Amino acid sequence: MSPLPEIQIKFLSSSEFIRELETDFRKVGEEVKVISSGPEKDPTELDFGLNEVAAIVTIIQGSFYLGELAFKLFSALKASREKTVVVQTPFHRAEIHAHNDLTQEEVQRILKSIIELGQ
Amino acid sequence: MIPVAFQRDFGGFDSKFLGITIRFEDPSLWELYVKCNSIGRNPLDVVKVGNEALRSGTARAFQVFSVVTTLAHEARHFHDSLLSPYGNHLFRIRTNAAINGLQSIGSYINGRKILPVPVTRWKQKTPDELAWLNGYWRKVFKIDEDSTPPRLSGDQLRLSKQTEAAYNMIKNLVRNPETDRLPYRFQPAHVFEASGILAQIQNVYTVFGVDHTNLFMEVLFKSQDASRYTLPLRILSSLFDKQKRPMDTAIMSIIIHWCIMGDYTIEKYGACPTVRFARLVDYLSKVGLPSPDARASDLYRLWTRDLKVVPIEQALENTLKVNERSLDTLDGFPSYHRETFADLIDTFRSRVSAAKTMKDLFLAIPDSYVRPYQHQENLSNWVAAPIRVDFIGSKLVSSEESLLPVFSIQTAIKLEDGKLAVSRAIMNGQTEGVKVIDSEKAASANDLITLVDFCFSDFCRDEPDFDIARRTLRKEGLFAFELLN
Repeated sequence: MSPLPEIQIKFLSSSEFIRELETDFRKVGEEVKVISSGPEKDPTELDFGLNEVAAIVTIIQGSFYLGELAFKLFSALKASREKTVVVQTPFHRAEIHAHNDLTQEEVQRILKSIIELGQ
Repeated sequence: MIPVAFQRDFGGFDSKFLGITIRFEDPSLWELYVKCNSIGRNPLDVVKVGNEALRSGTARAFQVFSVVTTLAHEARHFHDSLLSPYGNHLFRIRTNAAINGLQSIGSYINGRKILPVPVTRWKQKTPDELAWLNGYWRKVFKIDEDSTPPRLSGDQLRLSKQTEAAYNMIKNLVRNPETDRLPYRFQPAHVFEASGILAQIQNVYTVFGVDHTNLFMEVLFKSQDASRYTLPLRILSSLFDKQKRPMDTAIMSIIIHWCIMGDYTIEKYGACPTVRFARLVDYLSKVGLPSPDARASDLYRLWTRDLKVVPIEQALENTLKVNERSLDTLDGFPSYHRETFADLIDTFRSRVSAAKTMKDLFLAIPDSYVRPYQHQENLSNWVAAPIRVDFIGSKLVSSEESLLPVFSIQTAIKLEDGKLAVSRAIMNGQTEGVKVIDSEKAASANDLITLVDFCFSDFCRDEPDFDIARRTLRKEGLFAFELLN
């Protein structure tokens, strides 16, 4: 798939991590547009899985998405107490876990995989 | 605080799957689980594992105790779900939603290549948002497709409305709007989790011992991360403190169990476990906590009378009747429908039967269920649970020959060396107990319910299983387009 001019993407994680991410995104400028953000009141499953989570929906320019975003997410996860973020585009969803051997390249691979349309 | 580098939650009750689900991020923890839960295990070896863990530090010890006893926690959820009017009500609505939703989704597809989901969110899009979608689709899919949702009529409209109504009911069931307004979030899931955790505390004690249980409880009760498991237990614990009584997990379990047994057929949302919990705690703070040797049946009679609610026996009888009426409706479907939804209907049938088995056993001796020790000691009497195992990140890698004696593989990737990287599997065996449910059919029913959730539910959109639904639609030549807001 050729890089898209813009990609709609939702990040879901702890409220604290989403706040940090939003602050970061708002500094970026026109390459990242924040559409909505706030606590996600929904349980993460249809009944027994409650978690205190928040989400931010953004539209990100294709060049930023395939370049700097991986670095931003990787750095944020490494620095934060929170070690998991769910990333979701209209086509796919993935979880990124900041285990010890997570690399920026791995984050980039995941980000690319969630904009694949599939066969 | 539970260190975040460790996996914290090895289960997670999923009402779509008629069984229990356990999850592993690390294959070595799966090996530990097997070593300590296999039928031929040596209990002394398990104790040794626990003692070594206790010496290796709080975080590791908590992780080991959690892995080894997760089955007790999840088995309790499974049985609570089968027995409680809440669990039955939820599964009935889910089954109806799945059948109506599967019939109506065709009218939304109607020759399209792109299906925006959830359709409820799609129908609320403004003309500007629909125009944005058209433009985005042209760029992404290189096709012109009108994003305007179709106008349905007749049966299709009725089925769609019924499906949407079912999801509203599910939403209100899992997130009571009344208790959601409280300063702290308190939902039925908290009450059910308390039941699971009491079972797990008992299991840590039975399998490992006192010191291990103290560590397990200390981590759970002090951890902010574990608040969803312990909120009602912390409230009850403070009640024990105020009345200068040592915490009694058996009495706590009796209290929690009463809270999940409200009659939805008569009391509607007054039957919500959170409402019953608030009322019972208020009552017990006035009249005092029961004595440790009180019988559950006596307490239930007293509480039911004083709080003027439907007796549990009647609630179970009413639940059974509604279950059977629903089953009659499904059996009355035209044969082509019964064939299309065969696994779903068979799973519902086995659930109705399992709920009846649980009800009869529970009513014979309520203490044998509500006291965690007795529940676990009598596990062979209760209904056996199918076991689904999720390996996060497909990290269980093995040859097909070595996997097949243990599992039916649901989702896996074949690697270059011929081995399989498994992400989901159903165990060939079930938990100890009376076998009523077919594991494979339960898995198939889960996939159908998931597909309808994916298309219709406007909440819980971060469900990992939605990838299965996405792939199913893709096989039908459809691109599912998730509306993110």
